[in-house]
Amino acid sequence: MKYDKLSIKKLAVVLIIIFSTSLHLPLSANEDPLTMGIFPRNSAKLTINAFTPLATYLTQKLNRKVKLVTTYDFASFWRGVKEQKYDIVHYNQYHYVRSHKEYGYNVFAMNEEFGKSTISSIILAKKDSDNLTIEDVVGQTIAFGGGPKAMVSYILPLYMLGKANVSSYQFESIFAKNPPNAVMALFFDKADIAGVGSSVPDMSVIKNNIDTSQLIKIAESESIVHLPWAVKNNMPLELSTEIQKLFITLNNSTANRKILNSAKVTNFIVANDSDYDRTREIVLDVIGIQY
Amino acid sequence: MFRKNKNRSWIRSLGGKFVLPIVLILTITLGGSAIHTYTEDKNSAYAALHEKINNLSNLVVQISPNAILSYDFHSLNNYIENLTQSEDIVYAVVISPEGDAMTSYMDNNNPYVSPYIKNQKNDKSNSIHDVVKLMPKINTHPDIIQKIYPIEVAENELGKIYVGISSKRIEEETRNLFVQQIVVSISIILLLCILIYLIFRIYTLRPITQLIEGSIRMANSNLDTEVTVYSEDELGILGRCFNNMMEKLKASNLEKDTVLSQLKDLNRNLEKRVEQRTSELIEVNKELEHLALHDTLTGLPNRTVIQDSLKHNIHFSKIKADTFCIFMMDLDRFKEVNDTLGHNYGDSLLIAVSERLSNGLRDTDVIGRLGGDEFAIILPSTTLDEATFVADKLIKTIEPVFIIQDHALSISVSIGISNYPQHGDDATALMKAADVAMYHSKNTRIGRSIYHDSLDNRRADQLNIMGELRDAINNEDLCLYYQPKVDTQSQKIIGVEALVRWQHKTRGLIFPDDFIPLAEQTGLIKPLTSLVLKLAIKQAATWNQQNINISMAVNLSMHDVQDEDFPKLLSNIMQHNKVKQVQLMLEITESTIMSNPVSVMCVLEEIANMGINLSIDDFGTGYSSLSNLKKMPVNELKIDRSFVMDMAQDKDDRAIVESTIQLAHNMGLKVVAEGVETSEISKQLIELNCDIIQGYYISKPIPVDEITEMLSKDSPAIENSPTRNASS
Repeated sequence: MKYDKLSIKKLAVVLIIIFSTSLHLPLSANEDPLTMGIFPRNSAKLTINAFTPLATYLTQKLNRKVKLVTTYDFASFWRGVKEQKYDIVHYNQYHYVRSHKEYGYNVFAMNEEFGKSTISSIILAKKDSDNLTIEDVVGQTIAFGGGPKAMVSYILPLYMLGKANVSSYQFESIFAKNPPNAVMALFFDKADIAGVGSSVPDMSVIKNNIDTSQLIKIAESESIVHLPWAVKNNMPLELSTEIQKLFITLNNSTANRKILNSAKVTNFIVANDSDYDRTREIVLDVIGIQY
Repeated sequence: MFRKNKNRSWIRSLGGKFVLPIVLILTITLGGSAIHTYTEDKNSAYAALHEKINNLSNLVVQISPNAILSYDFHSLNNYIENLTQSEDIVYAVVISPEGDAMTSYMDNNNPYVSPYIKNQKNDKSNSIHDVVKLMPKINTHPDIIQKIYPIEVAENELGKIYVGISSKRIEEETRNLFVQQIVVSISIILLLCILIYLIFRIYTLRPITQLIEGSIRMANSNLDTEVTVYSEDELGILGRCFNNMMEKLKASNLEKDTVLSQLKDLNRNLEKRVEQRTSELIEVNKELEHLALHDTLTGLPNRTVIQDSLKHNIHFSKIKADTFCIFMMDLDRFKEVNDTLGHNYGDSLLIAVSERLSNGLRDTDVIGRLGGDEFAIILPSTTLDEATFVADKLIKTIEPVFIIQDHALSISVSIGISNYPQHGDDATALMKAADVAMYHSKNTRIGRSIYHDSLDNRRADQLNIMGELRDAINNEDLCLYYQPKVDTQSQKIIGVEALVRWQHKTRGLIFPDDFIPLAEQTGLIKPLTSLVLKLAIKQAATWNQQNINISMAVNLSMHDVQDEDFPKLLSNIMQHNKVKQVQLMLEITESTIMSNPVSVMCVLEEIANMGINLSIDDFGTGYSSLSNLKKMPVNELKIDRSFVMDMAQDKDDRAIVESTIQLAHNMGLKVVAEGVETSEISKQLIELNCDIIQGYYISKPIPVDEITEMLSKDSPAIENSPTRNASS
């Protein structure tokens, strides 16, 4: 029953969000709502909670409903990208460079987390294990977050391991539901090593669920630009510009800063496609495809 | 009697005995029901709990495989967190088949968990702990029930959900329910008991209480208030029976009260009579005590008191080195008063004398009557000189004439005085000394005398005389002297008066005054009289043989005339000597006749009937009444010498003599005047027509030879009267 209640709560939250955003549609009733898709970096519940204020803000500012959408896993999310269901989309760097090439999505902003607009990957191990150097990953099970399309939690660690002459054939890879789960898999001994973004151990979902002091960072990759925000290629320039403007000015007012806090970012900053060239190089190196 | 024992335990009362079993039954029934319900509720609650936990856990079991297989530990953790939020679940942990935890959630705020959490942070409800290690610790709590649910996919075990369930809520709820039920049960029991007790009290206890109160009233003798009867059931019938019983008891009590009242009256009267008798007895005892210690006639202390007082005075005088004196006193001639006027006069005289004596003494002095006319007086702290003064004073006190029933009685006293310690140091010696002194006073007629040793010797001498007198009588050593009686007309001796004399071998001639009183006191008077009569009659017979025919006068004592055998004795003596009766003249004193006129009269009449002449001696001193005198079978009167001797100088005495002569003549009696000692008196007596004279003027009493010679001469006696002998 508890579970039922929780499900009902979740459903109620989604409905409330939908209802509340619809209430604030002042606007051009004839225009279709904008769909803002958020990749499952965290659980759906956390994701909805984190970005609902932003969607509400955009709805108000754009005078057009902005529908917030997330998915249970990366595969489902990517199908939405592939089908171009999202007018505004927030995903990882790999998603962007591929969607840009394949579906025309254009980046207009990127996250600034913990005051940084870049992010790196780290290789984590448990302190009480024997895996204290990057070479020790050989023969171990490495948990990655989100799946093979995860940029910071898979592609970038593989790139880093490759640079350390550790081939993906030299270890067993498992993919956790998302990056935090990769760390949790390490913690719960389902993996010997975890490869995730450098900010993941600092995420509340991690700190609240596991004792990170038992973990040790044995390697960290180079930094790449942070997670991008992109719009569908057919979005009018005015709208995309307006959206970009709304994003990058959120940090200008105290009231809007709450939206940033809720989204677990310190700011949104302007991003250009060229900012993700390095990402394209790394992807090319790891996957072998040029986006 | 009976009363309510307020301290009696209610449990032991009838109400308690009735209600307590009901309470017990209700308690067992409702208590058992409550326990049963409690057990059922508890079992049901546990079953519901298990079912609920099973359902929840199974749901998690169903959704967990995806999370596990996709390494979605965050979601798995959320499932566990959500599951843990459920009531009664303390913890839920997913453990891998290898035994590693796959969830980290643990509600640190849970009271079962918090005691085991270290470094607990207030703002962080889910601090990360090693739940695998924490779980066994939590399980040690007795409230915790652990359930395990395997997570399987296609028979491959992915892990197990360990669920810790707290039974505390169920225990508390069921316990609270049990308590509520117990409270309700107790309330029901109390209510039912109160109701039952009230009903029991109204219909059973109240009538019984009435009966108890009625019994108490009955026990307290209150039978007026009946027992109230409330119903017609068995208790009502009992109440009516009780009232009937009370009515009957009341009637019985009324009857009993009446009898008791009568008994009380009788008892009261009896007590009153007893009290009265007791009072009378006290009075009588007082009187007896008084009588025992006092003389009934005079009221003076008796001999016992005198002796006690004497001892008392001796005791204190010894202590104080003091002296005191004792008087022994008797009345002179009291016997004559008694004999002449009777005992009534004598008693009255004694009373009067005792009053005068008492008035003449100090308060500290003690006077007592020892018997007869004998008194004793104790004078504390008194010397002999002072006692002598008191004795003289008492003698003077007694001197004035006593008027007793119109008779003027003159009397004197003889007092003997002894002194402590001079004359003895004990009561007997002192009383004896005073007694000896008193006899000396009496015999010497000196009024009072103080004891000295010579008196005691004399008294001893008198005692010797008594023995010798008895011998003298037996041996007829006594002799008679005769005093002639002369007829005034013929002046010749017509008779003699025989007077006894005792010619003692060593003491010489002893006169009657020295031994007659002793003879009277010792009973020798009768043989003495007999001897005198015998000698006198024998002498008369002798004279008859010598042709001397004169009368022979013999004095009789009171004892003789009171002896009924005396006439017979007299007759025998006369017959033995063949003397004519007319020659014998028996002289009886006036006082002797008056001492007991009736009996004396009988004896005298018998003597007179024998033809013997009788003469009243010492007439004028015995207070005889004329009526008695008239009845006396006497032939002559002898005027007492005290009147005759002074008649020449005392006109009163002459008048008494004259009137006596005239009286006697008027009664046909001859008159003899004795104590005639002078011719002048003789002449006056002749002038007064006195018939016979006797006295020293004629002749003193002389022995038989001399009187015989005198009688032989046959000459006038007056002219030839011998020279008076004053010493006779």
